Amino acid sequence: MEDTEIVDLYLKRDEHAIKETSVKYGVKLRSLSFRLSGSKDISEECENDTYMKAWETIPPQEPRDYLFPYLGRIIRNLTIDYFRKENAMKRSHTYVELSDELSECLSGNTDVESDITTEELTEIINDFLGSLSNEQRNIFLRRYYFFDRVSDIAKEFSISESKTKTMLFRIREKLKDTLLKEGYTV
Amino acid sequence: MKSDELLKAIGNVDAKYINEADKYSETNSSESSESNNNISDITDAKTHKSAKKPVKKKTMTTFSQVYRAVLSMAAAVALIFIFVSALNIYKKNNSTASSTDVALDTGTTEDASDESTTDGSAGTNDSSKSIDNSLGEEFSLDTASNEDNATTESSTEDAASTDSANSDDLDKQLSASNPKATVTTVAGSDYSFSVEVPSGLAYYNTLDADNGSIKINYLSTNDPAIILYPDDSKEDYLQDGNVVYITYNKDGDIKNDTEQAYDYIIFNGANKGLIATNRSDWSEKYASELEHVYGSLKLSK
Repeated sequence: MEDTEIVDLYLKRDEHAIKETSVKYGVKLRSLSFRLSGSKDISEECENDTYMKAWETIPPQEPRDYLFPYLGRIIRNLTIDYFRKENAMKRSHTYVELSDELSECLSGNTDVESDITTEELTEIINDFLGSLSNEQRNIFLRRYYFFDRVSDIAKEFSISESKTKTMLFRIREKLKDTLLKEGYTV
Repeated sequence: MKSDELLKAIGNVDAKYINEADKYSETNSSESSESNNNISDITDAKTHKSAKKPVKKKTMTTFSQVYRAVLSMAAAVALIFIFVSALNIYKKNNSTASSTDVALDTGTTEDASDESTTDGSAGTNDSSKSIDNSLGEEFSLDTASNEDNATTESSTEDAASTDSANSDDLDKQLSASNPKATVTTVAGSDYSFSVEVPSGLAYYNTLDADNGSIKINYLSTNDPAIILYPDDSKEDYLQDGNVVYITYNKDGDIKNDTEQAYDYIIFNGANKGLIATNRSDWSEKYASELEHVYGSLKLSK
């Protein structure tokens, strides 16, 4: 079923919308959450919550052209929120690894940095992604949006793992510079 | 701002970027579906106490492991083969070098009898002469005019062959250098090349990754001409190997930049380096711009 038809079902408040969403995107969504959490239970729980959230937010939202990114955003946030609530010891290896990598993009005074709103940060990242080459952007998103392993990214892009790591490192450095230029860090 | 907030913010980026990046998961979809099948299998096993699906999962995992193990072994064998080949060439040329009395810095004049033994051929003595010349003189086999008249003819022939070797035709350049450098592709990589250069070409390459210059130092004739330069570390790249990986960016700056293709440079014992590349435009564009400055080659744009 096409995304627009699924969204129409949501708009009509037809419960088949959830089933069709699950059929089309269930595996992808569960994988997304599973790659970050490493837990089948958490990923299934987040998947169900995602359907619930989608049911609550469509309408007024009408993500006809971006249903997967919309659902992906929900399940990512749910999974991340799950770990933010949890004790650090319970956090998954992938979550800790990705957090560590992205912490390189940040520096210094957390009081100053805390003034950043999510919307502003998203705007900065959007501009930043627009400044990257297609390959750089896709590799960055495969790693930090889809939580792919470096080895998988290397395979997908037919490059070596070391090159992938180097590219990710440089992109993070670039993001750090961008955040610095925006004045959000010390 | 915490890193998890940044991670979260990345999830809110423009949908067009997500859709674009999502296309790259197609190649990996079998893997992800496999992992999800595994999740389903586990669920089914718990619910239905079915023994078949977990067994299937285990089989797939085993097959994958075997496949990877075979690939690893093949790569290891290829590496050993390359290493042994390089070692053989290294040994062979060591013996050649010692028999023809190659010297790196023994002055600029050569014995006439040595010249007569290399008449008309680009022999190892040519290499030694090139090395001598590169110590301070412009590389040209026309310097044979300073030598004994009896050697003029043979030197002229050498000069002629070397002139053609310095032409744009890289293959001719490679074949003109003697001992001959051989170029092979490293198995398992699109861009990595190994260059096996006999020790008669004894140069010692140090690469300053930060300022894009290449410094050339002399080694004894027993040392390999080309030095291993791993793509990821600036340190310890001068290992006792005979392969060099040099990476550079699109502008031609040689640096430790793994974002772009690999290339290699063979220095033929002269003050003009032979440049071999997997990008056809590179050597033509920059080969002539390598300058010889007191034993160092500096790349200029």
